Amino acid sequence: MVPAYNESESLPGTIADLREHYPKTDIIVINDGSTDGTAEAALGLEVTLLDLPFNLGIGGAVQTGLLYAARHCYDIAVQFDGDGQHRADEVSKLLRAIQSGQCDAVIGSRFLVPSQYRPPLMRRIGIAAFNTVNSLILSRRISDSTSGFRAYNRKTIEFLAQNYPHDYPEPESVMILCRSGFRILEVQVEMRERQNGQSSITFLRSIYYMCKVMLAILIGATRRPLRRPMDEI
Amino acid sequence: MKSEIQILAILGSLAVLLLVIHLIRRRMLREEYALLWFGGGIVLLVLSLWRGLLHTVAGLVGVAYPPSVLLLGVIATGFLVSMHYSVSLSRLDQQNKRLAQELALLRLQVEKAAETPAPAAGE
Repeated sequence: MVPAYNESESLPGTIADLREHYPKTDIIVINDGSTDGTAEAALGLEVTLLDLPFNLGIGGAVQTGLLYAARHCYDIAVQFDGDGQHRADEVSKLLRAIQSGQCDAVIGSRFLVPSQYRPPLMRRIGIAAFNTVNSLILSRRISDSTSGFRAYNRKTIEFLAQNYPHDYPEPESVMILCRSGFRILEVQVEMRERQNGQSSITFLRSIYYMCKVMLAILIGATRRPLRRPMDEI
Repeated sequence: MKSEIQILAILGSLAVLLLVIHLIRRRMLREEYALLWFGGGIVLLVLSLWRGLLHTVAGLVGVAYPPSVLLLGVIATGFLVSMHYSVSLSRLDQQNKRLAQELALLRLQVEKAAETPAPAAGE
């Protein structure tokens, strides 16, 4: 699953990278109402294109991919950013974790072990805040709750297809999954610096998003845990 | 309550009621909202016509200046109505999102179906 919003420049490179490592895998590109010809760029590539009629935000876009995966009974779904930040040669680490059966969802973390990667200050503060809050609520260490480089097993796909948070969903989804009894694992991955395109979270908006997501997490933590689809039988 | 204020209040609530009736006639207001605003307008009208009731209510809540009860009523109504809108908007947003997602999934299915031509009738 590759969510893409105005990524026409970086998308071909991202897909080529994925294809090189996974020639046979189904790649689902979710075009989130882009205005720069991302859909056209994707049509020329060997991918399945889910074309949203208007911009839903990253949460809505990823959920579209999860709905697709749920309905077509995929066993594993990997979430992979369209902007070239994630590396296809790191996907195998996520897949191994899921396939071993030791977890339901795996997060590619940039900070599990100390590394070279240093995001800009504002971003670092935001990431640290979410990690702290999530770690406190879940009383376990979450080293990178903002990472969008993830893989989910079948059970998790079905759950998230129905319950996925809104526009900046990563930290909240960690909380929801964990509290609903899914086993989450983090593995250390390398990421590239962003190549083309702006982050979907610009400087001023990041403050707004931080407040919004914090509110969502804190109130969400007071909710009763959502039930897993498995438990409803 | 001074009569000037009473006249103003009566005119105001009549204006609200007329506006609501106008909007319903033009089919610009759905019934559930129309009822809400209509009810609000009538309460205002009754309170401004019936001094005794206004004074009783003011006495009950301990307000020295009865007309401010009207003001309180207006503000409270406005607050509740806009909160109701926020809830409706959030629900619409959710439904809108799901519609867009279904549309994207269906679009893909239609395109796939168009690529593989259906077997001719009779085969």
